Amino acid sequence: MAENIDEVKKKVKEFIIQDFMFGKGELKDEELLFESGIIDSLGFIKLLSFIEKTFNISFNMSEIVIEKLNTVNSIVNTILSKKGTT
Amino acid sequence: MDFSLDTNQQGLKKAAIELAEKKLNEGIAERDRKGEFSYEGWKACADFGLQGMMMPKKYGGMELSTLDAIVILEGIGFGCKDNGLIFSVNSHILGCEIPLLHFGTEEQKEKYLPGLCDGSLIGATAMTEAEGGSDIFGIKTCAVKSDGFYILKGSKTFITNAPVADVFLIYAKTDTSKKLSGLSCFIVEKGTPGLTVGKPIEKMGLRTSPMSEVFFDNCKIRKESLLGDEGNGLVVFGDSMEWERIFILASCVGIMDRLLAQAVKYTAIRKSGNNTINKYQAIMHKIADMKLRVEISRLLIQKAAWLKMHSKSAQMEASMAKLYISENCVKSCRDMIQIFGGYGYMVEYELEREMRDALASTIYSGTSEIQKNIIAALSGL
Repeated sequence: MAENIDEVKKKVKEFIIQDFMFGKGELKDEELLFESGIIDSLGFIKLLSFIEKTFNISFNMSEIVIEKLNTVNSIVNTILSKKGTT
Repeated sequence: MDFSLDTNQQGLKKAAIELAEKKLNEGIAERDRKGEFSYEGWKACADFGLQGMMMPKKYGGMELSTLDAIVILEGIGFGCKDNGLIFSVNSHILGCEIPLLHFGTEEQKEKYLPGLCDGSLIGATAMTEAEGGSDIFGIKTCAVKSDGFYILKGSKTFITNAPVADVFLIYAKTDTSKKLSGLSCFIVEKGTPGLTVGKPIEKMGLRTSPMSEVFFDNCKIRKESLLGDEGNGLVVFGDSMEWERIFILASCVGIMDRLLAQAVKYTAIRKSGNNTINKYQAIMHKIADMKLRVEISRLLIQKAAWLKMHSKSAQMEASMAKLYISENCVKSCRDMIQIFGGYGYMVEYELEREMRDALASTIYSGTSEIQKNIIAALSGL
């Protein structure tokens, strides 16, 4: 089923706030997740796992670009692009 | 769902056991004592096709499936007592060939994979540094861009195969201001000015697998040596680790199975009082534990390999297999020593070497503690 950008963004934000920010605080759409320390290397694996399971997509590792998963907006774009809805 | 090996897989396993028993074991006690790598054994593995078993045929590989590969590795582990040699082969395949296959340009693949498959080139991968084992953010080695080249500065330690390697995959920081996206991977050839390999490091186990430090003193490499995109080294490393954690312990399943067979045979002839010791529950329970470990290990690794065969993520399964097999291989070695009693403690019976070799498996490719962190994180914690 096609998901719109707002639904995807809501799920991504909820996951990051819940799993990496102890359920507290504000997360801006363009906040740099890695540089700010919100997501570390283990968190990166967790993020990929969340995306694959939640949005039923499968990554070929050679197509992953870290910079394209560094903000909420870029994560959402990657998901939508992978699902062919952009 | 099918838990059996097909005819082809049975043949592959049998052939792997034969290779190991006939060509890889001679002189192992002496090589272990001296800490000596077997080039003859390496070549025998390459002639069999082991180094290239998962590589495409166009690069000289056998293009086997992941499930076929673990069947072969289990067979090798069952037959081969030179665990260090097999560790070196695994490190070569998983740390060097797989990243080249997954992230290399066509030019890079054509340049390196044929030699890595036929064993004429030996590969090594260098991530760990003296001040950081599992902490990849702590990496100090850096690569500075300059006039179309990268200049590598820094050092790596505990690098498997380094003393004999022809091709190194080096992880270095290309942007110190960035965290996850500041790491890149480079292909560096032996003999590159500024690259120095240190003296072999003496180890407790896996002594026939050579290891040393590697130093980079303004080591100048072409920009074409970058493997994958600049700043994407974490992805290259993460992919390599996922594969490594699945496959590197497949041979340990074979080792555990060999120890089990040895235990069954030994306890049927060894007497204590009027009975052979296999009549005592204390022994029977150890053997039951050993059998269970083999079966669970095999299932864990087959599931992870099956996921990769279907191009699915297997980070959690890889960590579970790595953790369970490494810890339980140590337990089976310990049980064997107890079953053999005083003989088990003697070098001649070769169990103390198995124990020393097995202990390393709880440390390399991420310690057991790191595997637990990954499993916990991916379980929703």
